[in-house]
Amino acid sequence: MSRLIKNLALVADPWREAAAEGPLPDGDVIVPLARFTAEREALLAREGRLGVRLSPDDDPAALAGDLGHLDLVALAFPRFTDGRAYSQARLLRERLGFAGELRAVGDVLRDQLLLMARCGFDAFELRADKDPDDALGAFADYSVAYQAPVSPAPGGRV
Amino acid sequence: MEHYVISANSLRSGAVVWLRVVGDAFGWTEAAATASVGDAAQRDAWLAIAEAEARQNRVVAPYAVDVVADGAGGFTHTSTRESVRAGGPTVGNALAR
Amino acid sequence: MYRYDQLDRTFVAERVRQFRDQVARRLDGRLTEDEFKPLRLQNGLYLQLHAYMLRVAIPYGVLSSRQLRALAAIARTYDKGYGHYTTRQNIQFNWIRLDQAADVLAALAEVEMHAIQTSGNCVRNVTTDHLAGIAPDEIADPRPYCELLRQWSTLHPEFSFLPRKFKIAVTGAEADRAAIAVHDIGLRLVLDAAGAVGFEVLVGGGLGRTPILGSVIRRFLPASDLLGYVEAILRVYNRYGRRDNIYKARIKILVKALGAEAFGRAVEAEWQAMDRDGMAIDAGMLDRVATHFAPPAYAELADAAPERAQAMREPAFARWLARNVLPHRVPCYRAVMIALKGGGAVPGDATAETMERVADLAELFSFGEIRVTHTQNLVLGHVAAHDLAALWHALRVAGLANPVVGTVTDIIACPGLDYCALATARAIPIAQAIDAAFADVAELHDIGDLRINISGCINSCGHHHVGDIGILGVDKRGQEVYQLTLGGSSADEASLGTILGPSLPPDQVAGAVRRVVDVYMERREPGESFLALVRRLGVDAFKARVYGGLEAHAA
Repeated sequence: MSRLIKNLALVADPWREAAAEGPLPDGDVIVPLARFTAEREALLAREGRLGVRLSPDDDPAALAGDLGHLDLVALAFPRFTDGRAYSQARLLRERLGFAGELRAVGDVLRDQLLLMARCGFDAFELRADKDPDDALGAFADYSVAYQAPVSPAPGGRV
Repeated sequence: MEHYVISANSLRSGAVVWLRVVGDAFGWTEAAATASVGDAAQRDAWLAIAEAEARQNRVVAPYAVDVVADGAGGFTHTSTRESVRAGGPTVGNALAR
Repeated sequence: MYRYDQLDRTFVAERVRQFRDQVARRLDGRLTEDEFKPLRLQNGLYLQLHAYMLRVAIPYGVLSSRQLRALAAIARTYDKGYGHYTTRQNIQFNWIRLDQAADVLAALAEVEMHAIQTSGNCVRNVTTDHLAGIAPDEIADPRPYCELLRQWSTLHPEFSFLPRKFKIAVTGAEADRAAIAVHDIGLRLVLDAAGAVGFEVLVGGGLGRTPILGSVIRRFLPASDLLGYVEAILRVYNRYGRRDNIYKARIKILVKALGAEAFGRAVEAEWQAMDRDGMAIDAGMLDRVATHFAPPAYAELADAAPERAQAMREPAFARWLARNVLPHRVPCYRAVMIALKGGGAVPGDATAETMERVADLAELFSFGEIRVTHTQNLVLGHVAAHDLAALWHALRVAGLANPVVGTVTDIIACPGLDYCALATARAIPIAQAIDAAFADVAELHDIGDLRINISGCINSCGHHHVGDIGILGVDKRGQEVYQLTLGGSSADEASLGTILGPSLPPDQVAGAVRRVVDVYMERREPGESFLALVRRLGVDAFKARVYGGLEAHAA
C-alpha cells in the first residue's frame, strides 16, 4: 500500500530513491545532493524525471541554478523534532521559486503534516508504521492560521 | 545488599505509582508503602514488566529507585527527590488539601 | 485589553479539538510517549514530579476579572484549589489529569485563554513590563506589539520545532521591568531622532547553566519591520542553531559561537532577502490591535494625592503606600501591587479564593483588569488615589496587603523539588525560612529594595543569576545544598551574580542571607543600592562575614 500523500489522497509513488553511488534505477529518480553535484551533467541528460534530496544541513541555494530542471526536491526529517526542513521548504518556494513537488521524507508523522503543508510541502512520505488514513485527517485540523500562506502557492498544494 | 522499588506515573492521571508484585500477579499502587521491594535480580525482571506496561500505555517513564529495605517488606527512600515524590510537596497549599 | 476576534476564537477552538484528539490517540496507543510529549508540551502540559502540570499563558501578563475567576474555577474543578504564577507571567496548575486536560483547555477557550506554546521548542508566551500602559516612564505601549508577536508566533509552521525553547520580552519604558537582557530576543521600544517608534533589538540573552546577557544587534528597527526582522532571527536560528546537545541548543550559544556582529549580519542578510513589504506591520493592523489597549475611562479627579493625609495618621497604611503603591501616568491614579509573598506564603501561589477576591477587587477598583508580574505578584493597575484606603482595607481583610514589594521577602522562587521533575533541591522552604528571618516589616522597609531569587536547579527558572542575592539549590550526594551569588541584576545595566563561596546546607541559608544584609546595612552610603555596594566592595567583604566561623559546617 502506498504511503505517499499528495493532494489530500494516498497516491502511487513513481519515484525511486538512488543511493550515494552505484547504478541508478530506471525511471524517475531522487538522488542525494552530493551525487547530483558530482554527476550533474549525466543526470540532467538522463531519461526520466529527476529529483534531489537535501539533508537538513544542506543549503537549498545550492540548487538555485538547477531548480528549473528538477521535478522534485525531497527534504528530510531525521527526527520529527528536527525542524530545519521547514525553513528549507519556505526558502525553496518563496526565495528560489521552486514549483515542483516538495516532498517530506523521514520521520514524517500525522501531527506535523499541516505545518509542513503550510511551509510549502505538497507530498508526504508517511513513516512506515503509521496509518495513512488516520494521517489524512491532519489536513482538516485547522481552518484558519495566523500566518500568510506560502507564496507563490505551488501547484497542487494541499 | 542493594534494594529497589519500581516507580512510574499513570499515563491517564499522571499520579505517581509503584509496582506491586505478588507471585505471578502485579499491579500499580499509589501508596508507596505498598510497593514491592526487590533485589538486583528482581529489579531487572520487574523493570521489564514495567516497560511492557509503558508499551501498553498504562504508565509513563518507569524506572528503578534505590531504597533501603527494612527487612520486613518496608523501605525508606535514600534521596530527597524520591522522598518528596512519594510524600508530595513538603510545603504550602498542597498540604492543606 | 485584547479581545478575541473570529479568527482567534476559531483557532483556539480548533486547537482544543486537535489536542483532545491527540490525547485520545495517546491513550489508545496510536501515539507513543516520544511522539506525544512534544505535542503535549506545546499545549503547556508537563509530566512533573507528582502529576501532570498545565502551564496556562497569560499573554503579556494581562487578565480580566472574568478570566481570573475562570482560573479560580479551573483550580477548584480540575486541580487542588490553587495555582502558581511563574516568572514568565504564566500560571501553572499542578495536579491536572491527562484525560481532563482538553476539558481545561476548553474552559480556558471560553474566556479567551489558552496554553499554547507555554512549553516546547517553540516561541513561548511573550512577556512585557507589568506596568505597560501605566508607567510614567513609558515611551510607547509595548502590548500591541506583544499581541502582534503572539499572533505571528502562534503555531508558526516554520518555527514549531526549533532547536530549543525561545523567549521574547518587550519593554516600552525607560526602566526595564521585563528583563529583556536575559531573553532570547529582547526588544526595547525607542524613538529615533525624528520621533519615530522603533525597537532596539537584543539577542542571545538567557539564564540556565550558561547565563549570558543579550547583545544588541540593531540599535533602531522601525516598528513596522518587527515581525519580518524577528522572523529573520528565527530563521537563522532554526537553520544553524545546534541540535546535537540540548545544553548548547539555545540561540545564545549560536550567537556566542558566531559572535554577535556576525550573527547580526546573517540576520540582516536574511531579512534583506525576505519579502519585507509582505511582513510589514501596516498602520491599520497596528491600530486595530492598539484599540484593544486603549486606556480605561479614567475619571477626572481633583486631589492629586488624597492618600497623604491618611498616611500621616496610619503608619501601616503609610508602609503599604511606600512599598506596594506605584505612580501612574495619570496623576490621580496609582498602580497597586499585591504581593503573593510574606507571612509564610509560597512565592507566586494563589488559592482559588484569593483569585476570586482579587477579581472582585479589580472590578471594584481597577476597571476589572489584573496584571501578573515576573516577580510573581499581581497588580491592580488603575486605582483612583481616593480609593486607595478602601482598597487597602479590603486587601488587609483578605491577607493581601503585605507591604513587602521589592524587599528581602518579595522573593522570586521556582517550584523547586516540591513539584518539579527537573529540580535538584527545594526552593520554597528556603524562601519561607528567609521570610521568617525577616518578619519585622519596619526592618524590611529600612533595608529597602533588595531582590532575592531562588532556583531549585541550574535551569534557573528562579532567575538566581540576576538577583541581588541569588540562591541556587543543588544536589550533593542526595542532599540539598545551596550556593549564594551576589550582585546580579536583570534591570538596566544587567549583570550576573558572583558566587560567594562554598554551598550551604538548607538550615544555614537564611542565616547567611541575614549576614549579607547586615554587611549591606553597615557599609552602605546614604541611598546606595545593594548592587552598587557589591560592585563597590566586591563579594569578599560579604564572604568574610558569611563564612566566618562557618567553614567547619560548609559543604
